[in-house]
Amino acid sequence: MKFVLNGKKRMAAKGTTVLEAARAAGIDIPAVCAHEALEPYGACRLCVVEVREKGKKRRRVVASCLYPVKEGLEVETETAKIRKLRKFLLELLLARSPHALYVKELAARYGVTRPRFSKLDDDCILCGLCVRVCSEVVGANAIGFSLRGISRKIDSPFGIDHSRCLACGACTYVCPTGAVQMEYTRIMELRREGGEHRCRYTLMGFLPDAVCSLNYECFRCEIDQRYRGEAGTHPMLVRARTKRSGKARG
Amino acid sequence: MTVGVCADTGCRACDSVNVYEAFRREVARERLRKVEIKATGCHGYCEKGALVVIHPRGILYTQVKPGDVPEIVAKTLKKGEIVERLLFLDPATGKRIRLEGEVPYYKKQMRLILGNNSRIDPADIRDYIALEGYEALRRVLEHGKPQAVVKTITKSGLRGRGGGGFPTGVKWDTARKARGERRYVICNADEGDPGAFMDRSICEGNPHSVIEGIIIGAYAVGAHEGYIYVRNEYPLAVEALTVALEQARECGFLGKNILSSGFSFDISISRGGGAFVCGESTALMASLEGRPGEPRAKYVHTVEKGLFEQPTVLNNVETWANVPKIILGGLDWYTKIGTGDVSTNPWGGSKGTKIFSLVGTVRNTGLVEVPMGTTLREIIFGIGGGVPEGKTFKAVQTGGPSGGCLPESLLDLPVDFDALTGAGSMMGSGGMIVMDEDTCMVDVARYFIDFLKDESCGKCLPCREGLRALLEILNRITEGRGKRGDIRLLEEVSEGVAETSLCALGGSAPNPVLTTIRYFRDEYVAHIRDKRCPAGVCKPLLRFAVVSESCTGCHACFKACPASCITGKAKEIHVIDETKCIKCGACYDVCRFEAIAR
Amino acid sequence: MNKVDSIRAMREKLLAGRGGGAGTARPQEAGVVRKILEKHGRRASQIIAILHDMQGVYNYLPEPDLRLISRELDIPLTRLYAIATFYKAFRLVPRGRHEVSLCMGTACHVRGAMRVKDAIERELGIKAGGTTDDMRVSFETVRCLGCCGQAPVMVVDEALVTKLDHLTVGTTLEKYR
Repeated sequence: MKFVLNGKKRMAAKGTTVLEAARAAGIDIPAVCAHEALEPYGACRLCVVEVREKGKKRRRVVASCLYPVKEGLEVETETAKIRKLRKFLLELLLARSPHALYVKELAARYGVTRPRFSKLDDDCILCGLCVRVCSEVVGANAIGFSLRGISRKIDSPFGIDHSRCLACGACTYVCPTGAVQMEYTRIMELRREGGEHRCRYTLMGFLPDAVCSLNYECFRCEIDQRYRGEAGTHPMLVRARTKRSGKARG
Repeated sequence: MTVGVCADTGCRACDSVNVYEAFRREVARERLRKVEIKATGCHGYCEKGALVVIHPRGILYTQVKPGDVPEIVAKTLKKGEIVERLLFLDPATGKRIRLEGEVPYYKKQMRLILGNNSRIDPADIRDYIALEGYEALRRVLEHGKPQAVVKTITKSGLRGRGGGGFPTGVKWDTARKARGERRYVICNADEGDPGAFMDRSICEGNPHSVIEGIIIGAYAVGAHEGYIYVRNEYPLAVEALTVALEQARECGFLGKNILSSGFSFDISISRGGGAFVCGESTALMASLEGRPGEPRAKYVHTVEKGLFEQPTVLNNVETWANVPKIILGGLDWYTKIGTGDVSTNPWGGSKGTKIFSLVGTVRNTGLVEVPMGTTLREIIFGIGGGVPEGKTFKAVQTGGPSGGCLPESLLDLPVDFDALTGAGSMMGSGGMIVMDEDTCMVDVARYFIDFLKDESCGKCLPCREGLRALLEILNRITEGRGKRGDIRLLEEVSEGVAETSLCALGGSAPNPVLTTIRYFRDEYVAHIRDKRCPAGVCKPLLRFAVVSESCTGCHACFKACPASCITGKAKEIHVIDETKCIKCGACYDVCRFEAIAR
Repeated sequence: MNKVDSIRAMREKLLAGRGGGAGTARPQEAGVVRKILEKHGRRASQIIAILHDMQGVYNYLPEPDLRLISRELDIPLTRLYAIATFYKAFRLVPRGRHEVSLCMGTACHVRGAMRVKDAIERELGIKAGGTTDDMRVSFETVRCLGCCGQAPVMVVDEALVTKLDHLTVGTTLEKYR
């Protein structure tokens, strides 16, 4: 399909989102809650751009991670309006998570350093990456959202139930701010489940029921690093990458 | 002879159930065979409940108590005589009015949708059938051309009554042509706008009017499954619809091979879980699919991919109820009602009537149905009787949390889909809340944001954090900690939230804030600069003190005070201890000598 | 049509007032839960209706029963927990014997609902959303019961009380304490 991106004519395959097309063209659009291994979510809204559909007069502000490229579409990613909206969103984000390094750096890049609103102190930016990776990629569904509105947060069921967690660490890996951390207790629990010693990598299907050379002292384990070095990403996400590589690129 | 006793929730609180029971007993005792007593849905004039209408003459009795019933039976039902004291008293002329149709409140309305409520027992389909019920469906099925139905609805100019105002026929047409294995039709009965109860009254008072509309729509677009999504807070509407659906099935209007047409269709009822956001179409569908009610971006419309990813037509209760009327009455008749010209462009006007719930500080509260284009002034003052107790009108809020507050200067605006939008508000689903001089507009803005912060699904950053920021600023202002630049800040945040939110809840959330700033800026300034609340509402900005010159020592305030902060013995001048005062205003209310200053 | 008359009789019974009172069935009656699941065809999309029915029995959603549903219908527990906490109708803790719901809709707000709320909180000694220590009364605020013509209104054990006044509402509630 033919479309126009920041004034230049481009081509994109059917089913490509504006964000994907822009990244393929080397244009940088911030997108906090987007991840190549996951379905687009559209929650952070930082990826907003202005578009004008063929034949229409009005321009719309849309989330580029979800908006599909259409024939004759005109896209602008750096208008004054978009820059203002990005700063606004970052200001809100910084007010929520003023101490998270990721947020501070991202906001500073766009010139936002001091929010005019009272600050929360919540490192979790509710981007949903952890929940989505646990559900879409790992399939464990160990954590999820609860409540709604300004009380919305991420939790394990009833706040205390970790029974579905595999301790795979994918959530920690994708979390941009470090709000999700691995807890050693869960690894200990898994070790002792059923009276047998089990390595979490066998639970994840990466190792057959092998005997652990470290006597299950997971804090000394280097399998994480080994896989990461080989694959360039968290072991659980390797699967997802192959699953999605079949998607057309613009 | 039929006696229609309003048994809707509002009149029930005025003991109308006992009125109904009393009628049944009396009529049985007097062995009046030809009299039917019906417990009906809302008659619309809620201020004067309990309402009783006697057909066929159309005599209206207001504020009826169970004790009045024997007299009504003896005089009116048996002898045709009027019980004068129960008739409506017109405050303008001082005269009593006999007939429902002559009462000014009703006379100025055009009650196409609600008019039959006082004649129908919603639990008896025969009442509906007797009033041409299901005749429109019969005609449509006999004619056998679904596309013709779509065309008729398009040409009628019918637009969504839920607030969106999208041309219904266009929606149906797109759904009809969309690709999918199956289609769905949904009735949105999640009426969540606080202050609106039109849909509830239609569902409880005349459920078949909605059902018939849905069946016709399903036939037109080719759907075989329908849902009515009713909000959790309306259990009686769920009951009324359940009963009505059962009866409709029995009569062959629902199910397989409806009226031997070959068309099969049935409807299920789904209850909400208590979430305002589920009135939004994609959130509603998520809820129907068994998920939390989180909206999704509508870059692909729900008519193409909606419920279970299939083409779906979602319409509001009132929209569905208009459908049989249009089929029966015809295009010439329907397009004469309302504003604009829809002959070439379905967006070109607002046709038909609209039901408003006229509530707040207005004399005649209740449901008002008028042709599109009626002005705010005609509705609020002409039909509503203006503001009671000698207070002055200040603002009218329309469109719920997505709408705005309009001042007195704009009362001559006609009410339709387009006229109010220019002024910053919108007609919305029909909630019309009148506010008088004792309402603080900054507090109103704060109220709506406070409402939305909990109802927002919380998924997207601008809505969730933006509402938090707006509320924080408004709280500061109403608590006397407003700063210079706060109005500017409110406007900036509002713009950001409106432009970047995922769905219309966030997208329209700033409207109450922006309209109150636009039309009532002076109140904001008073709060911020002068630390004063002109309407006397924002407690932290209030001080209560006894005016010693006027105090008679009657001790009434002392007795009313819940915080025990007033000292004084009988016949002595009383004193309020401001450090203990919780500013509830009880003393101000009870003092008969205007000796409490605020 | 006899069916019409019997349905009318059903409606009259409803008019006479719904059978109230909090459910007192023991939680974890797996048979009860399974029956509810069967009634809804064991379909995951019907989960909200299922939870409504369950809450109708116990007046709240006991955790073990949610786990049971998760297993039986193969719905992840996180999703059930998300649904149970997202929708305000559902409660994960038991409520008081009497339930007071005060409408805070716009019409009620404009007619003084805030003052009524303060008065109720004073009378009962609890904040909105809470339950008295003796578990006799729960108080919550809701948004718009749809009875705007007689604002302010509240519902006490499914009975509507209208045209409230902050000066007299305390007395109205005395009998529930």
